[in-house]
Amino acid sequence: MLRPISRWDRFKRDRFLLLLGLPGIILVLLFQYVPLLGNVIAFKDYQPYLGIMESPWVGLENFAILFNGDPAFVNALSNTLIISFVQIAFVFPIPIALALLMNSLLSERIKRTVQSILYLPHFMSWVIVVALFQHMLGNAGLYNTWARQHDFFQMNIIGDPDLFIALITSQVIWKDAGWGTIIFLAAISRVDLELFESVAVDGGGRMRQLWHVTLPAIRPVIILLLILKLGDVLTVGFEQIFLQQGPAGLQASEVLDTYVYNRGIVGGNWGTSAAVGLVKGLVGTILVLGANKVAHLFGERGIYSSAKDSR
Amino acid sequence: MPGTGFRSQFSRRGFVRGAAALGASAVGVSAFAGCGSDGTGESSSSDDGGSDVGSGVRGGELELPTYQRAEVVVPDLPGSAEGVPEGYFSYPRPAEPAAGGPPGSGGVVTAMLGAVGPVPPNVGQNPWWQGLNERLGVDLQVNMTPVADYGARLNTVIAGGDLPDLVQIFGVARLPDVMEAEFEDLTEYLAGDGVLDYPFLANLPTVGWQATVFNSKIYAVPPQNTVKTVSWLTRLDLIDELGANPQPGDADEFFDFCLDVTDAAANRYASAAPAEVLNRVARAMFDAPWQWGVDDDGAFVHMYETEEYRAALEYTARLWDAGVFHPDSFGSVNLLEFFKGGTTVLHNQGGNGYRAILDENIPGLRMGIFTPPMADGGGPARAELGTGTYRITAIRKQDSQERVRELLELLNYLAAPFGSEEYLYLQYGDENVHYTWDEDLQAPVRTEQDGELIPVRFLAGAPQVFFDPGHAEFSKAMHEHHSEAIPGGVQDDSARLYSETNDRQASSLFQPLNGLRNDIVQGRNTLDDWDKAIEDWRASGGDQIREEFEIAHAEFDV
Repeated sequence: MLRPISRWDRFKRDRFLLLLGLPGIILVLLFQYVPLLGNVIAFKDYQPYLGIMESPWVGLENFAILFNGDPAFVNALSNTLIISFVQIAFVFPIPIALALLMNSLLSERIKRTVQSILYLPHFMSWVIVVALFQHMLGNAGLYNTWARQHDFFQMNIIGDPDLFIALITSQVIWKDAGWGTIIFLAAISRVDLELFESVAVDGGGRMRQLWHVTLPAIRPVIILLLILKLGDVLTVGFEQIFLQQGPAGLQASEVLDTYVYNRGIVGGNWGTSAAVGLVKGLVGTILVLGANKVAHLFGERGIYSSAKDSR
Repeated sequence: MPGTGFRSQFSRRGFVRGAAALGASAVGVSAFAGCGSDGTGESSSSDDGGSDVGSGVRGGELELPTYQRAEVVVPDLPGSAEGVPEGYFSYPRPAEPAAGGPPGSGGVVTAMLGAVGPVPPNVGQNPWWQGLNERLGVDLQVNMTPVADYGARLNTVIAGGDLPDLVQIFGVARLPDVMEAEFEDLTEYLAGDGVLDYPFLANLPTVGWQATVFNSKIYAVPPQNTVKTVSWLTRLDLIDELGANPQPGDADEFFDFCLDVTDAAANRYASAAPAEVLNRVARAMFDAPWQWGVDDDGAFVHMYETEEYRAALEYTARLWDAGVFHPDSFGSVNLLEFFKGGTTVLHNQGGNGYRAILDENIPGLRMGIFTPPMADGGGPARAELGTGTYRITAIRKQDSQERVRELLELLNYLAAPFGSEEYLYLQYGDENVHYTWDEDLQAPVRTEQDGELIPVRFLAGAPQVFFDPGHAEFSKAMHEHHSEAIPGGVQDDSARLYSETNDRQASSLFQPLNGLRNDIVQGRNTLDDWDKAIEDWRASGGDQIREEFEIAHAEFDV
């Protein structure tokens, strides 16, 4: 008769594997979990010269800014949410479409060339990307200078607060859409070719293959990435926005990350920064967990499933 | 009420950062009035607030370091006690050493500072640095951080309890507390005649020392900056070519000037710095205070609250509307390159940074200096003045007094004045390596090797001078410009006062205003929005800051 394996037996059985994992665990503990303790300054009036231990406790005072309706905070929050949802709606689907398009390219050589070209912008830092955009589209940029000299139609794109969201969204697409295709391409490449053949045998064309084979096959990946994206809903990129706040003005461009920086780090209000950061993290976690639950309800795997679910 | 009757004297007793607003212990401070040039330290101040002078020491009895000019060379253009820099047309040759031997006696001295521009090679590959160590008699280890990141780094170093011996101080909140907790109180070494042990530190004008005082104690030495912090340079060559008036006499003439020099099709604009034009030209033209101003009753008002500033804002918005500013002004633009390339005609440059432009000898470029006029044409506007220091350098708490003295000796060496052999090495390096001697100019000319020099002048340095080999005329013009501007200049009257609310909330209080200001200039918001924002600002902390400054001011300057 099989006796149940005790915890100790399992430990003994897996000891070498655990040993292999040890450096990684130590690394994560040391550089991820230990610094988390620093979040305690969200409840303190932290002053660097006093240190974390010596700084006085202030309870929830630092969190007041979240609830007292400070117009600047509300503005930053609403900008963040708007930008986030615009990006989920417009940026998220693009790598999927691109991956499907690339997958339909027959020549391996062309495919590889296209991939390289599309990946390239990902490796440029935001400073370079923003500078490129400014030099091309800025009011004294390549286009507008030419337009001015030739009495042509001028476009005030950079510096128009109404176009700010469109501007940064298109920058994100330009920079990262190609890079985002990698995971989808990997998922598509794992689709069983026989399935495509079956559709073909049944008289289905390319659209039918796409709809009944490819998309269902990469659906778990899409949902996984969407859930992770939801966790980032309060984070819309610091550098990119910070670099472009000047021309657009704070009303249109202040987001939570820049707000934390401008108010907290620049102004020395470390506690407030930590409080906002902490709440951001919490909201992100709740969203990921919640979205995962919803995914389970719809019968998807989500990003993880508990031992109970997977049984 | 605002804007009238602001005192404009800049050197006067009692502007000392204190802890009054902190509610900390007794503060009683008195710094001497301004800068005696007679070597006694007791002043014959050229205040217009003459009645202030003479009451001398008060309360906590802090004497600022005695000023004693180090007689190394005789200037071609005289300096002044209020902060007009000396001018020189040639460098003495051979330059004589002015310091004794090496100030250090072996060992390591660590330092950190915020650097501008490329970081020099490390000491191992840097003969200049090795030479410096030999001269100083110590192993000087300098950590250089780009200025923009320096505040964050310093905060981290303080939090980590890992401060070096010599620390350039800026970008830290709660300075009085930080100073007391982490740094040496230098009062007993430097106050009064104590500083005479360090002749090159005694050579620093008194005005700069006022910035080193916290809780009525001296905590730092002040690397020098020009008191008139910024000057407006113009492209005279372009102005003449376009037939514009290089020195407009009132607000309308300045407006015309801007229109005359602007030609968008040729990519040429009056300026690419609207906020600077607003704060440093228009504000001066309409005679608003500079930052915080105090009236004769001790009441503080911020320039943003004044009718005068409102008028300046409206004026600048009209300038923007007229298209005289570079359209990417509010983006990240390289103002200096714009000016050098003729994209802009006006450029404001700090200290004697104009020298870098002269040194490039750009063909065709001819510079003038523009003095903002009063809006109504009543002569030149009052220039805004700074504290005369480029940040400050403090000494971390040390084990012994001898060690503190040694570090002060070292800073003293770094402050060796113009004309000395030490200054030549600190600023120009070794002959035929970092500079060559130009017989015609009677001046050192830097070579490409000069990238080895590390900016120790940010730790301690000689008083600024005008020395522009080959451009003596410009030195004279600059000297005259400073001489005219400084006596009637306006200072930020809060510059040496401490307000905790200001320390904690200034950025969050002023940032929305600055953003709105930029939006109003660009025509996105109106002056009504401004009035409303000022109301909010007052309610959410502005009035509190005012009150704290007033209390601090009353403590020191009754």
